[in-house]
Amino acid sequence: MDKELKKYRKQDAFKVPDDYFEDFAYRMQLQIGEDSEKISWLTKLNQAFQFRWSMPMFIVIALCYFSIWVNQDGVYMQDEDLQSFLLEESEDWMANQDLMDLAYHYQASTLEDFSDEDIENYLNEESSDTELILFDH
Amino acid sequence: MDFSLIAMKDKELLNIYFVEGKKHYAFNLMVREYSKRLYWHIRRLVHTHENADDVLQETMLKVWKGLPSFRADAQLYSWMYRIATNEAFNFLKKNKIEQNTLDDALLYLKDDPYFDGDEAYESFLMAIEQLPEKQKLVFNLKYFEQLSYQEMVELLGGTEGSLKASYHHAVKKIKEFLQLD
Repeated sequence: MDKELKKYRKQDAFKVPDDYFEDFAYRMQLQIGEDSEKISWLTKLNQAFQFRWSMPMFIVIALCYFSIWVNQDGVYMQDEDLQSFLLEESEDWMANQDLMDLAYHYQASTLEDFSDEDIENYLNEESSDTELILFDH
Repeated sequence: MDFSLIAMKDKELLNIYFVEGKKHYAFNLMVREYSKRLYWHIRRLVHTHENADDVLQETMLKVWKGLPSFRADAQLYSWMYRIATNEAFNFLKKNKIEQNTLDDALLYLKDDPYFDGDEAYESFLMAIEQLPEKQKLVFNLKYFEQLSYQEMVELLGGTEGSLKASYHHAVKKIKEFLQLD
């Protein structure tokens, strides 16, 4: 060690707040806990709204709306009208869903947990609710 | 720093993480075991406590995220040390606009409530600050942590000869800066 530089090592110029290292370990545990929760929440949401799950549901609901609309008014819609109608309906439907409720509806941890029967039951429930609401009008 | 002890601790910690599957517990032990050493390494590079705290947090989060793909044959502490070093230098690069000159860096240091050095010590730190990255690392490890060159090879790579040369260049530059020759 160089003699002229040795003197600087004796100084203890850098300080840390009291209990800093103890608190730091605790803060890190909290941070990684939050990190894990975020991942599991997003994963569940993602699993619940996989394309192959949400699209058939959307199509059946849209068809139910459409068939009732046609039966009630006796008027067939033009292609453009139908397109915009389906788009509006799907946007409304998505906006009104409680995503977490759906995600936990069948307490599914993976997509494989949805059996064909589960999906069928769910769609039947959805379509019957829709019909009831519309017939009330 | 006894590297054989560190290797033993690393092995135990990795065993808890990978074999026993107690990931949060193992990580907590890693933080308790190494955060102090990493903090001082980072603090000597970024100087203020606030900055060192930010960089240490980022380092530990990267360690947590990187652990699943960590190779069991590598040294845990050396890996953490390299992450901390990269984080510290990236932090300094990001903040370079604010700390353009050594005088600016000194102002930041003086504002730090957790710094209590006299003017001579401030000059000494500024002398280290003007060193190239590698020389700075070698100097800090040799001067403050008193590692042997063999131990430094574990952390920094390269050869003992090249590390010795870096240290001597660093000492020469610091002495020139402080006008000690």
